[in-house]
Amino acid sequence: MGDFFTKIAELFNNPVYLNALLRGLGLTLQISIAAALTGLIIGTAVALIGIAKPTPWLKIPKFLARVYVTVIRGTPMALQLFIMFYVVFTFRGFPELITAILAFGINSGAYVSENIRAGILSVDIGQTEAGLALGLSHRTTMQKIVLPQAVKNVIPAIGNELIALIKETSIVSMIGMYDLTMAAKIIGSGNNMASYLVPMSVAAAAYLIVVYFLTFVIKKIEKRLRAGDLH
Amino acid sequence: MISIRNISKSFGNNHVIKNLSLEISKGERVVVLGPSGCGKSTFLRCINFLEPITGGEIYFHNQLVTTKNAEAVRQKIGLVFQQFNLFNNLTVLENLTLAPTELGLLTPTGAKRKAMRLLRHFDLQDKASAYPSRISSGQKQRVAIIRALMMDPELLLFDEPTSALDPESISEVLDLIRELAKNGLTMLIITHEISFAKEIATRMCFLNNGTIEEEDAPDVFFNHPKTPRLKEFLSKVL
Repeated sequence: MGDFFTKIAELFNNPVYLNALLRGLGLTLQISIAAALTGLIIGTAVALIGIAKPTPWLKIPKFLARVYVTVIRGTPMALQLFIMFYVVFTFRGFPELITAILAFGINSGAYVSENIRAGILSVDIGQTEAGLALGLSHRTTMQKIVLPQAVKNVIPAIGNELIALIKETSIVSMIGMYDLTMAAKIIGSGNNMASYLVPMSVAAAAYLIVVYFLTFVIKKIEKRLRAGDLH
Repeated sequence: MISIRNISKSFGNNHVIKNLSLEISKGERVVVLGPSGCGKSTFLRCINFLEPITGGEIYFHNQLVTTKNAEAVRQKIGLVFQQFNLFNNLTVLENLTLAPTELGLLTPTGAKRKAMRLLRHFDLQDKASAYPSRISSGQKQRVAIIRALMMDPELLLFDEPTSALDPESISEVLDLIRELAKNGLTMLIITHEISFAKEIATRMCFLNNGTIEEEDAPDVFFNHPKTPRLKEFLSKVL
């Protein structure tokens, strides 16, 4: 056990190791944040297409939205990442960071869209009917009444999705990207500390801190949105 | 004012409304009675096209109501729901001002002034900034009625307005409806409050099996029902 703490001290006192970890954490955060935003945009769009009144115009978009959600949720994230990396964006010089962001954003979007769809459907249909009965358009009713209530219902689920996303980005190490997990792996390798326990534990703690912070922020947002209602 | 001609409404093979016709003129207060499951709520929802009808026609001021002009017609035909359906994300005041301002009928200040005047009149002014979850069921339904009044409706539809209220709240809501009646507002009311129906109706309708089986002045309707089915119904509820 004493050995464990000496190793930790060694890691934190060695600027090379520390920089490697910070660099890895930086990439993890970059991918997570950018992919989360991409996922929210895609997810919102897909959810709105999914719940829109079926018109001939929307037949094909609705079909594509369903295929997208089914395929993305039905296949492994690692495989989606490999396909993006080795099949779709193979041309020379395409930044791998963008590839990773798109892979995770597209993946996250499928889950987010289902969360948002469920959130919108969870708003009592009477709310929509009351809006329509006053002569408001479907669009205004959605914007002013249904969506604000849906957001409140959706926040916890979106929070879970973001947490899952942050941790899942660790698989970019499988395609050689230098994220937090990759940094831990390199620090622990034979050429460096020659022990995985400490760098892996430190990396795990770093993920935990990020996730804990995010959970805290989400709880705050939830609390603020729930101010003023009792149900 | 409104002429409902032979409308029907089916959900698949379930024919809820069958060849129903009803005319309502300005100033009338028509009360609809009927056993549960006879299509009363569906009928009301068909009138303002919340449920598109599957047969027949509805004319509002001699103009055919279609899905295209339904939004404009709904501005003039208010609907009060059994479950109030106040907008949960908005305060009482915002509930009242949303539709008139969004539809450009009133300026935000104008809408606010009108809302406050109505709230004061019905003794609800101290609830203006409260959210719906913080007020009693009777207050909710009164606010819902005021929300409909904000649009200056020509016809107000009531879908069992007291059925979801706690017993003490019923009278405050009925009092409000009485006052509207006194002011000459045209209304179509579905209710189970028989004594209230007797008091307020200028005409009674008996809805059964998706159609109006009997229609008469309240006095005749209650005291000399013609059809056996209405006789039976009245003997159970009176």
